[in-house]
Amino acid sequence: MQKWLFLQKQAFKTCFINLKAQPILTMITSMMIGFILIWPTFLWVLSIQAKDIIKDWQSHAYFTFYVPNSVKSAQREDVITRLKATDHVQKVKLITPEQSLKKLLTPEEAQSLLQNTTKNPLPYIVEVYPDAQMLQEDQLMDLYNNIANLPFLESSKNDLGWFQRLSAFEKFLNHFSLLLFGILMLGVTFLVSNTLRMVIHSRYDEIQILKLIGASQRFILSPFLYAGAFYGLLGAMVAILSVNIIICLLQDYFKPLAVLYNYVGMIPLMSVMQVFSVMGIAICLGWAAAWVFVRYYLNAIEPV
Amino acid sequence: MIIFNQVTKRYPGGYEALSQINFRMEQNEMVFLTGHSGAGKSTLLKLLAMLESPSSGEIIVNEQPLNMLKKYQVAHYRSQLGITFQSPHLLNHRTVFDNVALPLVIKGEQDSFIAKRVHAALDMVGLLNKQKMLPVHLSCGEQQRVGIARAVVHKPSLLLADEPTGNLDPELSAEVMSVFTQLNQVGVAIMIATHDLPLIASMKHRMIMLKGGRIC
Repeated sequence: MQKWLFLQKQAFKTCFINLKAQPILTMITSMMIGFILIWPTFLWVLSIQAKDIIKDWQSHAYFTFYVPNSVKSAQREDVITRLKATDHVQKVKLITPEQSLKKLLTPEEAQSLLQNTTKNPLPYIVEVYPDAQMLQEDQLMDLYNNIANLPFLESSKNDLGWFQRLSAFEKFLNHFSLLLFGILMLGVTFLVSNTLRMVIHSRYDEIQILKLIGASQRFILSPFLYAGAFYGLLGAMVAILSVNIIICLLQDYFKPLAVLYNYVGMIPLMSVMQVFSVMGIAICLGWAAAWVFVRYYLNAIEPV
Repeated sequence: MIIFNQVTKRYPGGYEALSQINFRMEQNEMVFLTGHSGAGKSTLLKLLAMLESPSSGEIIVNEQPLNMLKKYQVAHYRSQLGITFQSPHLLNHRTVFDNVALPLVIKGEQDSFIAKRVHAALDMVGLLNKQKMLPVHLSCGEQQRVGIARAVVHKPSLLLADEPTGNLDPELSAEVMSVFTQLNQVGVAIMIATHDLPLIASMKHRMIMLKGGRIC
């Protein structure tokens, strides 16, 4: 264990000597990794935000049903009682024809309408509010169908079409960012591999000497693994910084857009968890790229 | 113990650098390998260092046939050797100390142990005062001595030296040979390829003469 730690310390030291010896290459590689990582990171943050917005909208969702005026008062009360007893229903609100009329028209318009008709033509309206746990589109659909089957409820309307479109968009955004993430991660892998190939080329003689005096593949490989991880870390830092700057710059444009859709909030900066996730993924990618490709390059070098 | 059994090395194109080589070398022996340029001295050392593989025949070092070694075992085998060439093969961006320390670093030895051994090796070749310098700031002879210090610092079981005194003046050559003799006296087998016949004559050790890839 002590020997292993010593070798890791040596590898770490060698890695930083080499990175320091080629600062421009290190900087360019890290910047390029950073720019590649910006897009999946930004889309990831956006998709999480989109999920929050959809949750927010869904928490305000309610169904509206009409109870015809022909239904007797007792029957209406019975329906309301049954609705209140239904699972996942948080609140039921009954709106009388008079209340609807007041809501729809000004007192003068209502007066004028009632003068021309014998009675208020508007039906009773029942607004059903699902409880806070009902955030999934399919759960809401099930609840809606259950309620719609109750007697005396008619001509209902719901916002599920809107949620369906929104959920579909959110799913698309999620899948798109995952796909983009996969493709761009492949790009990071090849970029790290190509940089390390150049580093290996510039250290060809050194590697030959190390092999000549009996350095194992692991001994020669370890500094490159650390270098790969370090490129990933630096790249992640560039990406995180850039994404947060982009978010700050977009806030002023996001706010009026959000208001139009009844959403009060901002795009939050990346959370600590998100920051560490991006760093972790980038470090692992850099390490993995070095592991796969450097071994291949090193195998081709033999001392003479 | 080293055994060469009917060893032939043929390069692509048909050139035969070594033909049907047979010899034995004991563990505590010091052997000079001599012959004209192109006689096969360096090829023989490269075969022993596993930098080349024989076209036919068998090489056995300490009862281990080299052709049976797996690729991952080659590094371990080489780490037990001391190798020094006329061109010293040093890492130019590392100090003299770091260069000499490499075989011990590779083995994962402790810092204090490494420092002790490196200082002793550098003292032996007269470069203790230059340990913090980079190889590019040293003369050819000094670089050669750094290479020798690196080859002996880990007390190898077999030392292979190709023209180790090629860049050294007679006085330093004698010092280096004295270092080799001391190592040999503590049981290190040493094989030295050299043109320097007066040096060989002064050392009174076995000599293997190569001519056209054959022992004569």
